[in-house]
Amino acid sequence: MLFSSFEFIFHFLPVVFGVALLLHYFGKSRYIAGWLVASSIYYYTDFKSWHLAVLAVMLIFNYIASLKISAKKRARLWLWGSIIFDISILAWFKYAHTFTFLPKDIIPSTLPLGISFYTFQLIAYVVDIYKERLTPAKPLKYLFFILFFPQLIAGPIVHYLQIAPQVKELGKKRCCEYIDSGVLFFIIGLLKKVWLADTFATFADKAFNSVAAGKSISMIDAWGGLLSYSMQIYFDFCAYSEMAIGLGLIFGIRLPLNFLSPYKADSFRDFWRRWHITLSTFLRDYLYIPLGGSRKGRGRTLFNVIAVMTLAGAWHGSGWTFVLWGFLHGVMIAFNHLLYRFRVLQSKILKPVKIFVTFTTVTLLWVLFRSDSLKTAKQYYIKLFDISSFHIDTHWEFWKLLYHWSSSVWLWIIPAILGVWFLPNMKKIAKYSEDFRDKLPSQSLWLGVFSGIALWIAFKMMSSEASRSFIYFMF
Amino acid sequence: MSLLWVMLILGQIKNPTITSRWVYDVYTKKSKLLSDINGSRLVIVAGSNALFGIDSKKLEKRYHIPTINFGVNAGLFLPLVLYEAKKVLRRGDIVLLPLEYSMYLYDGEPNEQMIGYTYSFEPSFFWTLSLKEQFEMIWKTPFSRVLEGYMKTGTKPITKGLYGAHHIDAHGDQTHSLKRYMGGFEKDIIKHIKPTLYGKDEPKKALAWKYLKEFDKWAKTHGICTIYTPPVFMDQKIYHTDKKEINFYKTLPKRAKEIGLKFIGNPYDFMYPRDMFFNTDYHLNAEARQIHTDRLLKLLGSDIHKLCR
Repeated sequence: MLFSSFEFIFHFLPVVFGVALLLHYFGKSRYIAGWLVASSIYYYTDFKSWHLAVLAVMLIFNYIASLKISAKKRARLWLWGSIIFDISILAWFKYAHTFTFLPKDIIPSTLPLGISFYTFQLIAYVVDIYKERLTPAKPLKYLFFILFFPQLIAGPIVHYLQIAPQVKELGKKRCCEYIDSGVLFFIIGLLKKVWLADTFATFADKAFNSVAAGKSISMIDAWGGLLSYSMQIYFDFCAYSEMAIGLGLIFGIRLPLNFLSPYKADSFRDFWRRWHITLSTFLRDYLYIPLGGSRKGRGRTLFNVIAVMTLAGAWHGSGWTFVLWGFLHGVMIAFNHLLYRFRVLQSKILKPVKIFVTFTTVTLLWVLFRSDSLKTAKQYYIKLFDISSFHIDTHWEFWKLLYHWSSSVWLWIIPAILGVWFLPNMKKIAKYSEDFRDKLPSQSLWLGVFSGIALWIAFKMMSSEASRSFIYFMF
Repeated sequence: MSLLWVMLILGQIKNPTITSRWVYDVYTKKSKLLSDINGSRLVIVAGSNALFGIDSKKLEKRYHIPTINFGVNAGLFLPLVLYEAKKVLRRGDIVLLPLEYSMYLYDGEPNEQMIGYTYSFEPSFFWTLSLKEQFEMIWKTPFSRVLEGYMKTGTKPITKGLYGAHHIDAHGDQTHSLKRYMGGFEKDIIKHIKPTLYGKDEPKKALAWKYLKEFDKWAKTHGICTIYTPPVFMDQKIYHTDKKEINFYKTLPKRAKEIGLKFIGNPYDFMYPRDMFFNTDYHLNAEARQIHTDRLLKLLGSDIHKLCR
């Protein structure tokens, strides 16, 4: 059940919310938490039920590990044991198919949904227990922080301490306090997914599939396809992140921001502070800093950055394209570190240029992310710079362009790029704060009207075509 | 918003669009061919499997009845195809219906082609649909189709490309479908066509059977003979190995007969190898058309009138 499906919006969500609302009047947080955990399990098993078995094994093992670590019974052994166990399970499902010498029967055919996300959450949990940042959770809160369905499949990667205090508050505060903000986030995310992300996907697929099939495409079409993918992945991830926040708010849980106008970044360092924020935070806190961070000299810092980003690439997918993508992002961040010394480059006048350069470089690297192989990626890069195939139709007639608006990729790309650069993000529009102690303002009537129109358009789009799965569901 | 949407749709009704223009041109030409014939006719009603797959001249020669191929586009879906047929049929006609399998799966949900053609060229068809189907049609109209309607992109007949009245002969058959006309694009499509799993996709209660029953009843009351046969289709291994697919093809003739349709033939007999096709899994090339027509003639027998008694 995708968030952007009628089944989720009209069957699952109303039932889960309705019962949660009823339970609210008992004032007991554990009733609501229990109901949400049960609903999340149901939600998860709607995809494939055997995935739940994998999740259950990891949940149990890590919980036992956390108890042993907290009791200081061979704590270090249990810590490393659970980390190796978690990483091994993740690596097995992601990479087993690359070991061609293994019998085909034992190679998993699919990746358990959300495994990349909940693995990191579990690792963070046991490490935090080891470092005495927290004490072992009660089973219900533990299950809630991993299984809560808005973030279960594709993040954000939440820390236990971000969720546990909020679980305690369930049922105690005024009911549906931020439901208006929640619905706003959900609807805007839904529209971005079914209208923008899925539309750009058709343009991107056409270009990339043509190149993968060995067909020739012109330079203009290659750029059109690449920019479409850049927009597709942007809106897809943005949509998911916003829908997750919206769903969290509907049930009274404040989830962390995971996406913050990344195409407005003026450097690769800035990009990773805006794109998949919780992944960057996890990698920084649990990998980069333990490796030494920036405390062991410039050379080691640059090495750490590149190593961490290369692993981030591998986390995304099992192909060499993802590893190379991560590696190159690491190189670019390292490059930013080196350039940071030059004060002239920090000038505000250069900011638009830096934003443009960062956006273009990030987009060029998406070729690796999207291509099914290094060979396809190489071919695509060749097409992007094949000047001999550059051709602009000089017989454009405006009305024909307009008619073809639904199929003319450039009539979509240009407004989209202008939008991501100049329009405010949802954090600003809804005045969202991640800290659950901060009050959120009530949303205006105009936003309500806008949401209503947006919802109508989204439903219309959903009726015309089945929505695609979110890109980050693959990881 | 919904009211605004309906008004937007109404504002572009009867505006011709390029995507459905060729269908209109072809139906217009074929309707003229039919109206020019006095007396009874043998009319082939289906989608483009018939358009590409049947040599109507051969049928005419065998049965000594003027024969017109009224097959156009299965993408219009069953209700619209039957609606167009009713407009041209008259007492004494024999109607041969080698309907595409997709037509038997119609479940009330329109597609873009059905919507587009209805708005541009056949708005009266809308009122023959049930309330639910009317709602579906309005609700599922893409934004781009409404815009296309306001642009009036199809004011001129289509004179280029494979599909269009310019490639229809005097019997309504498709021309320019010889193997030598297959370019790299067509060869690539044929090479990569995947199976269509009608058995798996068939809805539990397809609305198609209601429409077929109603059409057959209408035909009988108007003195029109109807004969249903399997369509041309590309053979794929899974149609012979998968249980659901086998069940679909084996039971289709029986289910048709159960509602009173005169269905003759076995679907598997009209499944042909990949290299006999032109550009889709329903379009035979011109050479293969002869093979299929001969097989069809064998099925229909020496005297088609016997099937009407």
